[in-house]
Amino acid sequence: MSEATTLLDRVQELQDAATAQVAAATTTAELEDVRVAVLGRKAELPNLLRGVSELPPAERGAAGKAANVARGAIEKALAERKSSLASAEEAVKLAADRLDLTLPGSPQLPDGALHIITSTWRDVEDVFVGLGFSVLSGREVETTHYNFDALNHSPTHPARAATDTFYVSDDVVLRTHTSPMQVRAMEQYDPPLYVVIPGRVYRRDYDATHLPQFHQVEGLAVDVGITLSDLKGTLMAFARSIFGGELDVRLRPHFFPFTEPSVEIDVACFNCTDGWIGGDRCPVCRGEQWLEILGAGQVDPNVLRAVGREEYHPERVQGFAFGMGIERIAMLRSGIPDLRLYMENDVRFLEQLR
Amino acid sequence: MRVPQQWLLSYCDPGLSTAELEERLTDSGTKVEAIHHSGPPSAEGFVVGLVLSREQHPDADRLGVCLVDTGAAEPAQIVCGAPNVGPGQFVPVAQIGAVMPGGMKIKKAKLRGVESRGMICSAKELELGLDHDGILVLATSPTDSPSFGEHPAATNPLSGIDANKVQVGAPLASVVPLGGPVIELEITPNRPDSLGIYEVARELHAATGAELRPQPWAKVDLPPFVTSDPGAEVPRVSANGLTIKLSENTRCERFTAIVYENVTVRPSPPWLAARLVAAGQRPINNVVDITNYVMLETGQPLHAFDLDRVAGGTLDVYAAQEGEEITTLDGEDRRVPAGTILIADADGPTSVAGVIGGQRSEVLETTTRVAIEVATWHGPSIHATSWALPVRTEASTRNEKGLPVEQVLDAQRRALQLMTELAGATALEPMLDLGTRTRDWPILQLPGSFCKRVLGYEISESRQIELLRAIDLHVESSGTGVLTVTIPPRRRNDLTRPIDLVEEIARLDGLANVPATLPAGRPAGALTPRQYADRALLDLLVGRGLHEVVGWSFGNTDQLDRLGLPDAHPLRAAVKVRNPMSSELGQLRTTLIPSLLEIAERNVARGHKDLRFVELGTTYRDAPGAELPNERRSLGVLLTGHQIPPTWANPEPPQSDALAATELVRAIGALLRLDLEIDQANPPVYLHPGRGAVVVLGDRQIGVVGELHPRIAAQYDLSGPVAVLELDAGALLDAMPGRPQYQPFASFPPVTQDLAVVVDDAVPAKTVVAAAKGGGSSLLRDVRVFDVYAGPNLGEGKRSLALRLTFRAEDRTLTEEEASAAREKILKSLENSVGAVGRG
Repeated sequence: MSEATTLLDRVQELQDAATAQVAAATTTAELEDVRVAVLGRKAELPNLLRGVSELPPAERGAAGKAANVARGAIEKALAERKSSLASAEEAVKLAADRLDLTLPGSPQLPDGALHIITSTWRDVEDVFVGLGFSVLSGREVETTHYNFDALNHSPTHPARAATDTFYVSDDVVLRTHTSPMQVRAMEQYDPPLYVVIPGRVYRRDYDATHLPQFHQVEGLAVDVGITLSDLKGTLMAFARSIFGGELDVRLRPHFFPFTEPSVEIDVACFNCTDGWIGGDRCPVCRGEQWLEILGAGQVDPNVLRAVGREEYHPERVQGFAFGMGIERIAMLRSGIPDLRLYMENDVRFLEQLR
Repeated sequence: MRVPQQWLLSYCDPGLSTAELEERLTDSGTKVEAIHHSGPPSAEGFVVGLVLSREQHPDADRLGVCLVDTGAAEPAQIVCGAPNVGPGQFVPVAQIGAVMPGGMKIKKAKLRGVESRGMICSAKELELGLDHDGILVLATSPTDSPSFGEHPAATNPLSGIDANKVQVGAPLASVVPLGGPVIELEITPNRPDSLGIYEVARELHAATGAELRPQPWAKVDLPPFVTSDPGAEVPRVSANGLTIKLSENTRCERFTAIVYENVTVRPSPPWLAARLVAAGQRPINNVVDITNYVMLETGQPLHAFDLDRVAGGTLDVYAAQEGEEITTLDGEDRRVPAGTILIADADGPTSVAGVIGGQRSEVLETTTRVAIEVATWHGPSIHATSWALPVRTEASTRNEKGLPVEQVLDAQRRALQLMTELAGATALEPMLDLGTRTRDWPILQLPGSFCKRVLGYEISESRQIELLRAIDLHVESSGTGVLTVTIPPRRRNDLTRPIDLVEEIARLDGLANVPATLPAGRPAGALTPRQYADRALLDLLVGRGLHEVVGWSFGNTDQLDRLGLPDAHPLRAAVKVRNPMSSELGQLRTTLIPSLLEIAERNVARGHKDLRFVELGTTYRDAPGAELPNERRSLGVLLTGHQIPPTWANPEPPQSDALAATELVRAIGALLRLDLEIDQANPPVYLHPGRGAVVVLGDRQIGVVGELHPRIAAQYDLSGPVAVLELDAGALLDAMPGRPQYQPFASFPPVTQDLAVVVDDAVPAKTVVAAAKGGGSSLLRDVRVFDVYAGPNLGEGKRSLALRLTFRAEDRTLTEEEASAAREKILKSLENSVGAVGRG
């Protein structure tokens, strides 16, 4: 038996022993000890390699190669074992680092909310923007000219009464509707005009179903050939978007000084089909099956004339106008029983209807 | 207007249920507001009885024990308290089981120990009028001790009761009307004609096609008339002991009067009284009731004078002088404004024309001579009088609409007929008639295509003609596609243009026929950048945990007093409301802060302590000299209590304070890309003097921010800091720059260096930062305060500000040495500009 053969056997023995030690290590720290013991400067295998030069030249190649292969194999085993032990150790460590995620999150930031009037206002605006309308706003303290006269109100129209309307002076009022902006908009912009005007309005009434201040959305479409059928279609699209479903709308004849013909528009109750829920009257429509939501009509030629612009001459253009109450829509959609709740601004109300 | 159904159907009966009537009327434009019921719920159990005897109740002085023949096998014993009940009277009897108006059910009862089987009824109990003497006596028997069995009945010829129908045991409803549905209509201001029930019947006819019976007064002949000498300066006419003078003849368009003699004033017959009660009127006596009845039927108000109480037999229509007074029928002494149209007799004013009569000439039971006045008044004048007094009557609500002059004769005819029938009166010839007797009947041309142009769908010419004729318009087709339409007087004010006819056609044809289309030419809609920013502003604050509130536009001076504002303060320039709901709501708000405080106060009282509110709404300032006040869109914020909710991890989070509010100013500036500055030099009076500031944009003050003065907060029961912020949101949105454009990032890295300086307390951080920026280094890109320290080692009145300076060059990577040199330069500059001393 040559020295070289002995050496090769020894390399194999060392590799087998080292591999066994690596496998036996149970922590990364133990594994490091193993690494030092088998491959460290004082370990046998590296020193064996150093002894290869003393072998006969014909044997050096095989012995050196065997020693390098063994070293490579041990290093690979060490790396694999290290990776496996490290991930096991990490898993244990992370498992111990447990947080009770059922505790309230932190820091907790407060939840704000829009008032339901604003969120409803925006919903209405957005539907009409989708239908091709732009949004305008107008002043709240208004002349009787824009609030009444230009809107074809007779001098004796009951709405002018000081019992109904807030007066600032003989010819200045708190606007009783958003309609004054019809004329102001037509004064400022050329046709075709498709606008909605949301805003705050005032009437002298205060109980569960009336507030002295409330909010309306005015609509005005003036163009060539705008018909009552267009009014119905537009408001049907609106009602379906706001209340959902394939709801029908109903036109009822009415009177407003500034539209002719004038109509009131009802939308089929979204909450019931026949006025009844189980054995009780539907709380939303009170059994009526219809919800009155707005007044509307074809713009009266006298209003177009009051604009005083050739572009709006009633022979050239015609249109429709409508006005609806924001509180009413919110009331219907959210089941609010008393309008005065809107003005209380109780945090519980504000949080409920966010 | 309350319309008794039975009254309405007496002119036009389409054979429909009440619910169907409601639907047809509403769908065609006469909106039914509600259905009421007048009289007993059912006629069941009400019969005619004959009182056979009345004995005194053994234990009650006021009660009588009657035996009443009700057609049953034997007479019923009924205890009755009416003083007028007696044998021989035919009376209404509610038998056991009958239900009275209001729901009381008649049961067998014992009254003071005596059994009573039913009730003898008064007119009022049956809603047939007033109680005059007690029970309603329908008729009398020839004998006052009738025996059980058949008896003839006799009635007063003016009672309106058919003696032949008054038979023992007969259903009471066959003798007098016993209630029924009452339809309450909303009559729109353009349709004063519909304030007459006959005209409502015309609408019903047009809406259903059912026959409309002729007007009940159609065949009544009026006496010939006399009128003024056409040359007279003041129109005047005299006849039958009555002189009428129109000193005011422009606002009295027509004045007619018929004089009656031999008038018997007595209670109205049950049929008429029942109709008045159902219509919501109080029956008084036959003459007064006739005027009310005719007004309800024709829509034309009329007035009855006791001619013997008209001093001098003269009625002078004139415009009131300053300070005139009159006692009106309702017993009120009223001072009327100058210019009010009054009617005077020789002793002074005796009626407020078209609005309310005077007490002096009221028709009483003793009256025998009556003048029935029917006149046409200038609507706006009546309206003004009604407002000024103020008094609203059935007459004024009709007269203020401006009624047609032709209509007065309808009322005179019907009144003549009823005065004769129900009051036995004799009408004297002639009728006195001053003013305009008729006006032109307008003629409108309606092109056949016009309906489609307005409505968007076709209604045939023949259908258009049919519908217009149904409401009594005279229509001729020219054959050239144009309809010629003649308008009767009662619709003269309402139907003045072809478009008005389109409305009539559309509503009568049925609006269910309108198709749903969308405007063909509608453009793309969009919000403007300003509108999006307005939303984003509110969303920003809501996202930071604020609740949006909606406050009153109204406010009061007390709120401003509480803020301690001096008289000349701009927030005192409030717009006053002349007719507020209450003094608390007496003017328009100039600031959002008071209502935020009130909302906070209310919520604290309900146990909510941590409050974060925002309001985005209008404030108003009086603008003397301008036509209208200034309106601005304002943003108000109130923060009090914890900044964030206390949690297990952070049980005591910081309280909201002035800096929590200034942080919102920063965030708003960042959102709107505006450079908002805080200037603490002159804080508003209502803020904490050391913790209040104004917000400045450029050189303009745009808001206030800080903590409310603790003394003011205490008035609202708020303890701890109350931070407020109010900004002119409209001005911010106006100032917002346009869409931001991309700028390439800097390609060379920055170098940061810290610099701590000691300055006087009084020097604002903002000044130090600005001085650093102006300190002469072109490499300086940013300065931030990252630490503030005050301590005894710094000396009294001093503090240390630690600044983080960021330097960068655009063309090279800076070295630390270059940055240090720049830092030294800035320090030198701060020493000179703000008296800073470098620290370490």
